[in-house]
Amino acid sequence: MQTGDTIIACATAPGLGARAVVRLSGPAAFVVVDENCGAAGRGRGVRAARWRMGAGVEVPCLIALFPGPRSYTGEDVVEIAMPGNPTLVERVIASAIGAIAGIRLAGPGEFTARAYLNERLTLAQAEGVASLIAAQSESELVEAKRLLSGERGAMYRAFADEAMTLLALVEAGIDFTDQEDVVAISGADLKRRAAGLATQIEGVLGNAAGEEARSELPRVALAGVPNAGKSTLFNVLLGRRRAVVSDEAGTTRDVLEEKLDLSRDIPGGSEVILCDTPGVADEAAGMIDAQAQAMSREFLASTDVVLWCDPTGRFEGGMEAVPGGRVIRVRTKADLPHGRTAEGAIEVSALDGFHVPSLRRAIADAAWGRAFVEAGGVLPRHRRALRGAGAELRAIEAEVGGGGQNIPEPELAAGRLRAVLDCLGELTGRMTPDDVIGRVFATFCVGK
Amino acid sequence: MSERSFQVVVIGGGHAGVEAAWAAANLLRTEKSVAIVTIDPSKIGVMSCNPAIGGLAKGQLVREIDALGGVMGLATDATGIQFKVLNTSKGQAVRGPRAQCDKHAYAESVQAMIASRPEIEVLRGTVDELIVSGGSIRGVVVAGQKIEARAVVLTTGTFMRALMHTGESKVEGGRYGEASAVGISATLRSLGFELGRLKTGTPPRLKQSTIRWDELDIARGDQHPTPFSDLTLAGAGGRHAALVPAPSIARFPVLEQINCRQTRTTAESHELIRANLHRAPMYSGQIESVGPRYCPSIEDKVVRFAERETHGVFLEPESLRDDWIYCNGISTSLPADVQDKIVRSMPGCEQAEIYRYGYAVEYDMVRPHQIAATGMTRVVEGLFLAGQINGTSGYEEAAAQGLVAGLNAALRTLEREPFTFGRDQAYIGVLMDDLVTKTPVEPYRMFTSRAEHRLILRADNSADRLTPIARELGLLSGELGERRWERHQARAASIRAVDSRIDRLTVDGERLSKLVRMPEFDSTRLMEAMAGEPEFDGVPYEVWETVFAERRYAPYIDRARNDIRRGQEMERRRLPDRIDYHALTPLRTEARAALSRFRPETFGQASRLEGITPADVTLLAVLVQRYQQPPTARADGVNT
Repeated sequence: MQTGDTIIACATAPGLGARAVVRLSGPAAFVVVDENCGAAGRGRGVRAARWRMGAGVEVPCLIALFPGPRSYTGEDVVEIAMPGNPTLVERVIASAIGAIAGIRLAGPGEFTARAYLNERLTLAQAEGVASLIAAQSESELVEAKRLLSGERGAMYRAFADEAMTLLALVEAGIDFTDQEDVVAISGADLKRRAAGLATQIEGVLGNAAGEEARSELPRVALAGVPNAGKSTLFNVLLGRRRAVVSDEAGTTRDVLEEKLDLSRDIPGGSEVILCDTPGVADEAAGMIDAQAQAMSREFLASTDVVLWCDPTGRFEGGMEAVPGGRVIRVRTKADLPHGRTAEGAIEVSALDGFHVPSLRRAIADAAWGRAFVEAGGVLPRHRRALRGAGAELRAIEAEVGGGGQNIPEPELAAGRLRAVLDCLGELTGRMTPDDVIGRVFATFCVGK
Repeated sequence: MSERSFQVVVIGGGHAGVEAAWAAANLLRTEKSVAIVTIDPSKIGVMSCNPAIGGLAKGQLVREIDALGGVMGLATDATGIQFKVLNTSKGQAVRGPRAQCDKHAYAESVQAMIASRPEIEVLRGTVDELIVSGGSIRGVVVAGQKIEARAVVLTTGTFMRALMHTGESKVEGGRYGEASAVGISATLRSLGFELGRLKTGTPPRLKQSTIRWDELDIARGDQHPTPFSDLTLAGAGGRHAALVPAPSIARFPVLEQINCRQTRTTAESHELIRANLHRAPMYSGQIESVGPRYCPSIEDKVVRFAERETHGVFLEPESLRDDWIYCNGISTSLPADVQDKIVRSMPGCEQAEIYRYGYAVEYDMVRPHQIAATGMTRVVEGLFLAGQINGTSGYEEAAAQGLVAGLNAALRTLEREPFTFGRDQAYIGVLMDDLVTKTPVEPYRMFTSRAEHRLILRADNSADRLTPIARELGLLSGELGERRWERHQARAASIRAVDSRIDRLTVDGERLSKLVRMPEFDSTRLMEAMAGEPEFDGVPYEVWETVFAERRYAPYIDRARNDIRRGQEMERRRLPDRIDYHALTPLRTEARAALSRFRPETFGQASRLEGITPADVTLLAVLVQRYQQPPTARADGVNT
């Protein structure tokens, strides 16, 4: 099956590995290589190349070409092996999608589906294809629903709503001009409102610039007073003894970092870097090493999620808000008797693993899930959709004359607005012509 | 019981039935191969509501029907009394030709065209029964007489179990003074069809001599009328004139052109409506079925847009032969005494008399997920549905479906492959695809915004898009068909010549190919720029329009064509006919429910169903392939 379009995705697990592989499959796969690496897209084999991402930025990579039908999917396949930096991977994918029309992000399980449909997998090999796709798409849907239920979702919906209103106003001026009640939107208004929406969307992208620049996995730091049981929890979360643990407060002097895989804990989860830190005490008195303490504060400021560990369960004072405000309060040593635990804190016992799964989910959620988004993070897929919408809106601003009442070619502006809705629809769900027509009927008295 | 036999029997003589019979006759080309069964043959081609054809998007449909050798464009050109192209201030893609016709002349013209076809026989009567055996249609029973047919096209319009409402009064019937078709609803239900009920309405008709006509504002048509048919476009003294028994298209326009007038509702009208809402069937609960939002009754407008103090009303003459005036804008089912008062509250109508009161009509429809994009039902093979029975409204929408159904009915009897139009080929394709992939909430009407490829689907290029297809299918029969083909070839040659010259011409030192992309450029300027070229003398204006539009939209059209090409394989890839979607458990429940109900014919249709995500389509492709493996090799999750 040659489905006609070309798909792209990162084929290695998301996160910070030494190498990442980006895979392309479809008729335009080789053309993309030509566009981004010069005329490298010929024949079969592996070659070193430099991937151009625009603005003079290049990344060294290895390009492997597999002409169909003798390829994994049975179509022309390209694999780009490159440094495993999530930001670079994202930019390579974005530059490929931007290079020529008709390239899109692969859907759940789509490479495998194509391989199966092109009879490149035996039935036995393909045993899990259907359930794989079903599971992946289900978890994507669940995740999308979760994101939309929050504040961020409300903002995306507001963007889509404004775009829909603009399209309805433009379409009303096309399909209902024989209706005296219908007043078409003026060129000046359309220009102004398109620019306004573009500015709002760009604002979201701008706020998220910090996320984009981040070249690492989310950092999750254990913090709290000395002897709060941070290192014990660190080991429990990792499932192995990594940090030296002792009852003596202040055993940990340096920041320890280890990768923790949370991909099974929530849909869309991935790896984080778990950091054990020296304890921070409020007062200088009793401090074992002032220098280590200072370093720790600085370190906390650059972290994404903080696990504030406190065996008393009171969580009083001391812990300053981390940028983004993502703090998970953990009452450690929950096996010991104690008073009331502050609301919203997770009680964990390292001895019997009490509530450890809940904590893992909370971490994954804060690092990659809704909490990440609520705190201003924009997922790469969303960023791409928002960028696309913004670009189309800017094109409308440039193309529609500002002076006149009438838009001379509203069908072209409408085409752009449909593209905006297609982009935003990836965040908020598909919008159909019926939705647009419904909006027209709700706005104007149509029917003479 | 005497028996008669036809290849195709068309039930109903409205706009759907006429095009169905005409298209079938074009393909079959044998004497008496097609029958039209109608309650009253004198009502064939009657304009039940507004005697107007075309408009935005609808005009495109009529141009497409014409390009496919249909009736509607020719009948409109022969009987139009006011022509106007809408949206002329906007781009070529969204302009729509519209005409008001002399309603008597229009029906006569259609009837004369039908009578000119030896392939078609008109039978008077109501259909009592559909003869079905082995899941296939075998014929119909009309007034006790059995009529055999290999395909039947059912076009019941508003007549199935029809009920007309004017205020508290309820009368059975599908159109003023006409009967209702009762038996057919029960027959369809017993065959297993799921029926629905819709509502539509019509405004009062006034007596022109009782209106202070000359004092009202004039609403004019175009100074230079544009015809609908390519045969008429072929120019004055068209050689085909003798071939069309319609009043002749040798000259255009044929009939005297008239003006309409404009009045409006007043505060008094709105007061009257509000005071009598309880007597309006829509508000008293007497009517529960859904009417169209784009064609609301005046009582709806007053309720929903309470802040508006006035609504415009167009007074449109219905014929040159009588003085009936269509009151465009006050469709209503209020009681007669209230209608009198409302009419008289409008300026210029203080003494107006009503010839016929407005009414609402409720009728049965077959929910259209039960047909394929060919118009054939899934329940009974060889039975086709077209027009309002599928939940659409409008003469043009009905005619387009009639053409598709008649064409496919004939293809079936000829044992040829069925044919469907793509969404990228024609508005007709958009219409059929929407019907089989969406759940209608109101009578379906075409809008240009429904067509994602409207820059390609223009009124001006309908013949370029469709006439070659029509020829391939056999829709261009007889001398009329030959004329269409000649005309198409001449036009195609003109377009090629003009278009290729653009690349070689400069105007004031600027390349013409660049100038045509400038926003202020248009087809007239293109024509002027090439006026010095003797070889282009006499190239008709519509050729310049098309060449200009193709150039102007080129970047957008190229991009769209790329998208279409890429999507083509999945779009047209067929799904197996017999597949138990409920057994495809890896699919989400919602996806299985949608697929089971709509039973899409292609992956393209499947992807447009509500509740289906792109991932569902990928999964479906995998499951279908597994489904088609031999049972022993099949993995679980897919059970037959």
